[in-house]
Amino acid sequence: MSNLSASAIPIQVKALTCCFGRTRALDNVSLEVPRSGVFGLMGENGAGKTTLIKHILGLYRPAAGTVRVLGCDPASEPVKVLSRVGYLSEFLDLPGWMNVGELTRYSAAFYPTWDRDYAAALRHQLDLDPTVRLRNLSKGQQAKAGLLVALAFRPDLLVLDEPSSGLDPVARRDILETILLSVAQEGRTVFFSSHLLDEVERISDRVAMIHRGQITLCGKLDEIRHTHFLARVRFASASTAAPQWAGLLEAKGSGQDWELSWSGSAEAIDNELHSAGVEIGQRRPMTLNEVFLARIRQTEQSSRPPM
Amino acid sequence: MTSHSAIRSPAGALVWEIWTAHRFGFLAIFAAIPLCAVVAHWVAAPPQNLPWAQFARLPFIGSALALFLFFSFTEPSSSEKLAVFPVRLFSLPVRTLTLVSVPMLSGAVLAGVLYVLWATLVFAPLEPAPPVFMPALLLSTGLMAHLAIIWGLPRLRLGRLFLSGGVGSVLIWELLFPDALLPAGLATATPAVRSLVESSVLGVLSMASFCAAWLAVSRQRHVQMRETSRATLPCPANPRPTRAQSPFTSPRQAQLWLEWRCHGWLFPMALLVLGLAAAGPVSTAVGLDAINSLKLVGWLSLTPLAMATLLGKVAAVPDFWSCEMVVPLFISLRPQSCGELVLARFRMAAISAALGLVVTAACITLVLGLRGNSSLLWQLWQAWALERSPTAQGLIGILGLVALFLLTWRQLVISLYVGLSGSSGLFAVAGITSFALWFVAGPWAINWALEHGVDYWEPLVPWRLVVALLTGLFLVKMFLAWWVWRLLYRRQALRAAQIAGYWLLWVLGTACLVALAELASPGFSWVRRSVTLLGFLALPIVRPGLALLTLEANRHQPSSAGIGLISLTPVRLLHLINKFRSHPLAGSEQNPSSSPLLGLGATAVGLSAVVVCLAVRLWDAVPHLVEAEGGQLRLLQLGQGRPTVVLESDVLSLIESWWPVQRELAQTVRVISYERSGRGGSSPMAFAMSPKTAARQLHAALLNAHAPPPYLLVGDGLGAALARVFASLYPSEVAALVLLDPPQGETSDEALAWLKQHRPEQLTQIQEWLTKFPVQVRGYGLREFKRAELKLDKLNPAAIPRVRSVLWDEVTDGTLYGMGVQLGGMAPGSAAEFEHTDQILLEDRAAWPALPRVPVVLVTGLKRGLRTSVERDSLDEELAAQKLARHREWLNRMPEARHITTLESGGKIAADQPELVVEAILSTLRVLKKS
Repeated sequence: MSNLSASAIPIQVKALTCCFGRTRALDNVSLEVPRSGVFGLMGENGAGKTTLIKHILGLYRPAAGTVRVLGCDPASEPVKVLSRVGYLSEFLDLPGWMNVGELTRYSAAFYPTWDRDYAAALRHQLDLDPTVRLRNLSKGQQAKAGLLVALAFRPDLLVLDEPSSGLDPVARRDILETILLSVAQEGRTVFFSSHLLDEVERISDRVAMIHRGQITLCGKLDEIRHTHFLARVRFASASTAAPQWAGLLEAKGSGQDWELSWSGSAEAIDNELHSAGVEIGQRRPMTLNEVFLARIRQTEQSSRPPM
Repeated sequence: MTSHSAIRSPAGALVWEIWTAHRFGFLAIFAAIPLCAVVAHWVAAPPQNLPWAQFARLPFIGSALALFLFFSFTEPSSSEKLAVFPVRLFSLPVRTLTLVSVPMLSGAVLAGVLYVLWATLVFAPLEPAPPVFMPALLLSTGLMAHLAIIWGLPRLRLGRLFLSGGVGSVLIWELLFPDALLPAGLATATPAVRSLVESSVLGVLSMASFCAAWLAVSRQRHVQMRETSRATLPCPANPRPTRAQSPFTSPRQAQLWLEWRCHGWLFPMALLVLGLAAAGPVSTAVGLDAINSLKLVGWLSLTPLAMATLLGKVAAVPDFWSCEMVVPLFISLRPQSCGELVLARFRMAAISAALGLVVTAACITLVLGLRGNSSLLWQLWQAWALERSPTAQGLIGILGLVALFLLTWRQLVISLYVGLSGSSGLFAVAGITSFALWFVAGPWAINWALEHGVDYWEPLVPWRLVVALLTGLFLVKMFLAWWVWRLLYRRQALRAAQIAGYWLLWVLGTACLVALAELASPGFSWVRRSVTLLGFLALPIVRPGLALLTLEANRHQPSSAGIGLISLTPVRLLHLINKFRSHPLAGSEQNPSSSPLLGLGATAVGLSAVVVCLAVRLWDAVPHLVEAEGGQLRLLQLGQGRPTVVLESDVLSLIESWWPVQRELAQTVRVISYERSGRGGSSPMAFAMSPKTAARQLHAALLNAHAPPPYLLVGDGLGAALARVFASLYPSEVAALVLLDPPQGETSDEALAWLKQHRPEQLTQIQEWLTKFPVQVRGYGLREFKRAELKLDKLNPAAIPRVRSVLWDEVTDGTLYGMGVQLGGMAPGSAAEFEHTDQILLEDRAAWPALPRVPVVLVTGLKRGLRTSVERDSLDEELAAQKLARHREWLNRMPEARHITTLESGGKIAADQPELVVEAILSTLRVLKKS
């Protein structure tokens, strides 16, 4: 019998594999989300983000590997897990015939920790009319209603699956601010997936990158920033291909002028380039977007069969 | 068309899309036709001529429904998950006319072709062969109307449900009762004119459907942007004041509220609409005389069951208003176990069923109170109540209401396990099969049974097989129930109290159904007991557990979304089975404590023991076939003890007519009832019917059934004559005779001779009359005419012509006409006995001198018919006196004979006064014991 305790690791995924027919949606994924803070999951469309989240919520049962949420198997013990996990998604599928008041009244019954005052405060903060049917709300307001229900019982873990996808900037801002406020005030753990990298970069403490069902990068955001650099360099002589340095993610250019994406410490990069006689024009930390693209291209090149 | 060939037109692309989406379904439909054709030719052709041949029509129903499904050509709307015309097509550079006409017209053409193929290849050998053209047109029109409704009413969910049902009902009505759509003035027109008018009506309906669909889809195409912008309007700045609602006290209450708001109200609401329609327009249209009132009340009473069957199928899915089969994310993510979700469905079904029955009762009261004529209903009630004590009436009434509630509830929840599975293919196949069984095969079988009567079909039913099947089903059910509930308990999917509570409800409900079956079902033992066994099977005990498992599989596993594709393949089935087997909880049995399970197991074992005991008793009480000379006789043997009482039926009676007597006597002595050759379940013999032959067959059958002599023969009517012949052939084996109204009359030759002598002037007319009737009844007719003429002898001559006319009418229009009609459905053995009555009477008389000196009891029934005039009363009295005199004359030959007369019975003493017959036999047994 698993034990649901507040001190348990919020999300622990080990060697998770999931296949849909011949497609391998998740390939030996291992991940651990520590308590408190925002954990961002990045990946392009179809990378496996939603599949991973559905495993975390117990909607998919692992074909191989294990998933533990707050110390429990979410597929076997959904009541224990879901009573401590809030969830918001672009596709939450709220029943359109309910109005906002009915939605909160219905949802409150399932959570012993439901805070009515907090729910009322959130409703005012998110500017939601309790008498309006959900199907008559705009997409942004529907997302806010979903967030209200996800936060009002003060969950230990908040799972957000591309919550602001397709929303207008104002709604995105409102939702993200509300989430950040709850994290700041209550030290909540947030697991957050998005393909909008600037959004992930803005609110996440830690990030993981998923590509074709595999975790290609995982760590603290600051560490990633400090270990990924973009350098404009000039080779001593014209070259058709960049040398195969360790840590080199991507090289773009021709002739003598090249742009190199590099993973590693700044000193190590400088030493490597100087020893090769390469002149460094400019070196700066990569943005998350650049890291993401460089990692994807590197994976694609490495999986491409040799010519 | 291969995937590489270019599609040159939008119409071709649309056809290709429909074909690609449902190609396996189309192939299955058209592959079923030659298969069913072979089966139909085989079962309908001699020598089979199986009565089940009509079931060859059933697959057509399935294929027609599947075709409607394939050509629905809808997709879920993004906002409300309701099936609407595919919005994605609106952005294509194709005219709306093309978008509408291609699926609609191709569907209509294919529907027509499908029916023509079925009619010409499959239905042709079946009787009666159906028409080809009109049903094909009806099917095409129905498909077009169906598409027009679902495309034209994208937001009115209930509206299109009811409108589809209404149009479908009208077309099915026309299919079953041709010319129903025609004006009354055309009833006398030629078939060609009627067909032309009807085709025109259907053509106009098709055109109207097409135009309506075209207009509706055009409007949807052009207002789509407006609809989209409406959906993104911000909420009002000044919200309306809200009515304060108290919070739910428990998740169960909240879930029940959700179920009610989602679909719980549908059932009582549908019944209310139908009931109000019956009370208003329907009763006005048909006019509520006594018969129509009775019919309407009957239909209204059955409506809850029919509606529950229908809604139970379609509302079994995770979300009634969505065309997707997966559990909505909103529900999946509630911290509520699958067990609670399923139980909420069951609770809501119970509330819906109770409300539905209340609504139905109110509507019936409204119908009868407003304009109904309840006189016939009242008469039927009185006739029914006459045979039952007030206590039994009350008990049956209460149990009947509870049973109606339970069965309605059953129909609402029985398909949940399929609906919640998430498998659209499984759901579609199960739905179509259930629909065909409940709404086509069931009514057809009931109608067939009622048309032929119990006497016809009862001997045809292999009762022992039925008993074995029902018992086996119950044992399998108990085993599966034990397995499922044990699995659920050990995985803590439900609490022990919840499981025990459901089991208790099931036991109580089943006890109610069984008690009702025992109290209210027909008196034949095997029929009643079979109904009782059915009572054990009626309520679901396995399927609630399966529903929970399938919901778990759907909620926690990836499953295919989408509708419209029959995706039930062996691979898919294996996948579903694998879901159960690879249930992650299988390896984590969390509560090994088995004490609550022992209670459930003990209940299952106890109930199984009850059912097995019942089945064993029933097995003995079921007639079986015994070898006789040249064939087999159907024989029922009950009880132990000597002598063996053998019951000989009258000419038309079967084993069942002796049931009250046999059941009572079986407590004391071995009793055998049987059916003579060519009647009921006994095989027709090759040789001609004669009493001696029948006696030899009976003797052989008794020996083969290990029923040892001595025999106490009990004969009713013509059976008494056969008993006397048997006694004369085997005098040493007969211990006593009990004769109930034995025939002492004359033969037809003697009647003819009397008529020649005393009524020569009427004889020619009588013989002319007789030529109008079948040859089997002419001898009987002569005797009846003579009896009628005899009655006239003591009348005032002036009254004779008038009374003669009345009596002759009775003979011709009543007795002989009725017998002629009966002959059509009469067993060949009974018809042969009618034909050879003279031979039976002559052999009977010849047997009298050889009768053994044994105790004899003769019972004479002297009850007069329901006559009204004084003249008729005196005539019947005269005939009764003549019968009594003849019986006394015969008894004078038998020194050890005893005579019993009764005024409570006429010609059917065994049926009218079984207690008198039992007492006569028991008293004879006492005499035998003394001697």
